[in-house]
Amino acid sequence: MRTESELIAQALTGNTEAYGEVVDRYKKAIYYHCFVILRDEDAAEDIAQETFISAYYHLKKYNPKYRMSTWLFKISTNKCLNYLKRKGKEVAGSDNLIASIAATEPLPHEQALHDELYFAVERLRPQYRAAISLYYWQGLDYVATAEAMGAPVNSVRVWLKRAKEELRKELS
Amino acid sequence: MTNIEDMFKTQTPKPNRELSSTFTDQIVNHITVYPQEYPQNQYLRRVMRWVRRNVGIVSLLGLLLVGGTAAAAVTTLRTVSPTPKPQQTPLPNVNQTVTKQLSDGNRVVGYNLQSCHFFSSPTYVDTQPSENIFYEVKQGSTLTNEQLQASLEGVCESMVNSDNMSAISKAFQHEDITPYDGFSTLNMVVENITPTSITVRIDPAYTVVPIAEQDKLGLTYTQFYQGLKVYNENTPITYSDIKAGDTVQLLMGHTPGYTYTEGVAQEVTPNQDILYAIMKVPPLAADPTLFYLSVGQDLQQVKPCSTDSSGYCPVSAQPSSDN
Repeated sequence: MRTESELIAQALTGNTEAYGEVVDRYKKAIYYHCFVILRDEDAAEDIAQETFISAYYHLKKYNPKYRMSTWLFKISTNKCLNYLKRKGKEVAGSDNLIASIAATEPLPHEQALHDELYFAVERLRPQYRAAISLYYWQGLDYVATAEAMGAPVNSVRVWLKRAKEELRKELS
Repeated sequence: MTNIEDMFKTQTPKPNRELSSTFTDQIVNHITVYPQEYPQNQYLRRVMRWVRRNVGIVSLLGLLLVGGTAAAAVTTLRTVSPTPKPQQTPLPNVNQTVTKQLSDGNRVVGYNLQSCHFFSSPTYVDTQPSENIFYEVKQGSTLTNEQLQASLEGVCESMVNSDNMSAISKAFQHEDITPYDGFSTLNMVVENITPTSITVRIDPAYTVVPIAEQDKLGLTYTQFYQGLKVYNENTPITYSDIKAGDTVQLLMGHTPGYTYTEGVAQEVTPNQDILYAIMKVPPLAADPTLFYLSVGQDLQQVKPCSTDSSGYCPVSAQPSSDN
């Protein structure tokens, strides 16, 4: 199995098959991340695809000192937020979100709580949703989340803190 | 009190559906066809966005780029009557070489491309005087071998034009200008030309835009670089040699102060563009649109191999799962 560095090096020489492997490694994470921000499967898939195409064309700019995933999250976050700007819809309610949450099957009272949580998340501003997605659901640390969002670490801390405060308020 | 952090950690929102099975293939096919951020494609995408926003039609090319139902798109294409092939240097030529029916209902079609520059060159530097390519066409696709051949010819023609424009763009490399997107290889037809302006619309050969809508796509450029270069393919001519009805490609750049933000300001904005070069080209005799719409959907590039019972293996990586 080729390492990520090997795949990227090969992709830089025009080996599209190698890049296909890179895509396969991260496509699900990028798609899910976009879905959290956009709440629309079709748009999330479109943006995820644009992310990988754009990343390929700018592969020379990729700095290997960062994780590839962080770089891809950065590109996709920008594209998702730009997409929302273009669409002019900060929040488009999606009842489907609740139906689609999580594979685990919580107890009924837990499910109700989770439903409530995600309704509340839906109402957060896109930057907060992106930060929550990256930090909690994609497992990035503060530094990587900040890098992926192109923002200072302190901003991410503040966004997450405010997001949680808003959520607590909503849920109390 | 709700422990939000715990809930976040145990519950991840998931979309209702997984990615389409051709997700990776579409990307790989795209970057195989366009090893670099191919200006024609980029410009066409910009035009399509402009069309979508201003005219309100669906961006068919978007289907190629981001998925969708190719079959539906293909049915919207108009039939192009055969026209005499214009003289081009060199003249691309596409001939069918092989067709093979596969046991799963798909079929493989091979073509020989003559003078179709860098169709499969990863660097865009090595021109390919002759090469053989193969595509697997999905069962149920309405695409015929002849349609594919014709659309491949259209792709080749646009690549020859691209080669010429690429050479012209190099003339500016020692000057203090930066044409955006490099250059455009989208063929445009001159609708009106005066000493101070040029109005163009998309070459009707690109059926990605229905004819009725193309008429609404006049783009008028009024700002010219003081060292504007005008060519007939690779032969220098003068601005006054360009006439209404000519097919041209344009080398453009943004006016000083223009800030381009990806995904936000991607409309075609001729009032904010400066023309650096105009290249007169033969109109496309073949329509490349069908290929653009089908690749990654109805079509997958393959190559002869001995490891698959069909005798052909995918050129691009096949996604094994959606994980």
